[in-house]
Amino acid sequence: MTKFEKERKAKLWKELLLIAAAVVGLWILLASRDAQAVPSFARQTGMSCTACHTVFPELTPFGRTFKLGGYTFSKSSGRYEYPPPFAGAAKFSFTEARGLKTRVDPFDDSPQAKFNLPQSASLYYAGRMIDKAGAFVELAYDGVSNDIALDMTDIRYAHDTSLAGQDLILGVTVNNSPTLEDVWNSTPVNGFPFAASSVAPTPAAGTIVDGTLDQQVGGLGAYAYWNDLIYAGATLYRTNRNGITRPLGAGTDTTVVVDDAVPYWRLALQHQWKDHSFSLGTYGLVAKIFPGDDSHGKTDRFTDVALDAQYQYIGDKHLFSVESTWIHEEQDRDASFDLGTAAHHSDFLTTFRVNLNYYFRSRWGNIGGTLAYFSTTGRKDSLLYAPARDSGSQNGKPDSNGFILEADYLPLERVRVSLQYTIYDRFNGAHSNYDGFGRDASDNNTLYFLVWLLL
Amino acid sequence: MKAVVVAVVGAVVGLGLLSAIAAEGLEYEQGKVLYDGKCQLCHGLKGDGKGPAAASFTPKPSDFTNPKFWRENNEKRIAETIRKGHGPMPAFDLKPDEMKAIIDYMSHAFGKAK
Repeated sequence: MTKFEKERKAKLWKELLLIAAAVVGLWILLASRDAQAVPSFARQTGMSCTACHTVFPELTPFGRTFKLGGYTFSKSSGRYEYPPPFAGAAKFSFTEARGLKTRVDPFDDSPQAKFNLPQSASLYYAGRMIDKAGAFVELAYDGVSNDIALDMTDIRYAHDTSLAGQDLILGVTVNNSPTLEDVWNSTPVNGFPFAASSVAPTPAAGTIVDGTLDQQVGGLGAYAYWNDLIYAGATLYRTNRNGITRPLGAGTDTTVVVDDAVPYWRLALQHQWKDHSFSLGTYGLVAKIFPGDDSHGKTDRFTDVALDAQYQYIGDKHLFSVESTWIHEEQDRDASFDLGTAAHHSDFLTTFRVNLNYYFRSRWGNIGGTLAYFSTTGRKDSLLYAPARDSGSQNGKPDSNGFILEADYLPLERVRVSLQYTIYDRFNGAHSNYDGFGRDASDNNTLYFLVWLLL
Repeated sequence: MKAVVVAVVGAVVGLGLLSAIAAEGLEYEQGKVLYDGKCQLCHGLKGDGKGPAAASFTPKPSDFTNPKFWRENNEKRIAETIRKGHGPMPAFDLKPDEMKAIIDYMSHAFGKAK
């Protein structure tokens, strides 16, 4: 296919998506406020979106139990859902950050420098498949890279029974991202920010459990949830580059290749009373990763141990929640050291995040926002975090921190309008001239405007 | 001859009773399965309105262990609530025998017949 044909195809895709989005958007605005029509979960349960979400995508206790139950709760007593549980979503966004146009990829080459129309469009199969088996499968079109790939995928089977006179849910999950299976919004995949710019600069350092393996691995896990009190789960992942898990990475280049199995664990305690719920938990993984894009030879070993907590209040009009996580990663970088890409045999990273969310349910829709703080610190390593224009580190430190302020308005349950501002106090090791080329952390401050539609 | 007639009648009555008990047991089991699948999430395993999802809702799910619930609701009214929904509770699409089984189970496990 020639470059001209590719560009023409891409343009056609975008035009089709824009037309589809416009039609659907118009339909949403003109349609009644009956939330039971779509998305597919609402259609299946016969309940409003607010049964499962305070403000999507944050889950309520009902939403958490629905997910643990394998997405199978249904108003119908049939064996499967008809029509099949398909749904859709689209994000349209605008990003503004100082210097973006001149120096930060992919803005240099992208004709859609600031507007991402769409940023993404997704098709979901989300709901009961048959009896006790259900799925949440997302096929996503990335409006920036112009690619289609399998995104979040979580296929479950759950059985409800009892132990010591108390309710017990036992389940198995097949999914393609560590922490995707989790039901609290204090863990990485399900945590804040729920949406972010695809084109804004982001810090160089991040732990493995914090998104590095998303769609890079596929796994099979088992979990148990007893007495609405204790949740325990374990999943074994393997690479999506080849073998049985390859379909779970469909459309995504497997650039982070893990060796052998990656064990992931999760343990959480929860307490609910009246309108309140509180959870405290731990999660983590151990991953052996080939340095670079390789898939043979020596590996680096990463051990991530994390703590998380969430408090949630769901009142008639007021919704409040606090979510926080702390992740510590020990890095054994023998392979990278031998290759000359790490200065030490061992390094570490520590990430901390906390976000406070408040929403008011008014007659004109939900209105509110989030205040969040984030921080990553670690050992100085001048080879891992080498100087480079915009994306590097002059002093070799991975340290970054800052705040995110977000205001949200949901005129309808399935329409979210967000204005998000990310403020960096420190970026890749320093407050000012962090890259050695005169760029300050504040130059990466990002304004992000989003319209997010669920269809 | 009289003894044979008595024995046959006895056997028929006995089998009838047994099958009635078995049928009731099956209906109870069906009701429990339906309750666990459709109601337990909010109303709880014990029917006390404290299911794992109860914290999500205002008003809170009904407490079937409270005698007041059974004073204020007869079977017809409960069936109507299940069929049409109430507040955050969805309208369930159940067959008449399923509806009967679920209400019988609620009544026996938590309510007036307990």
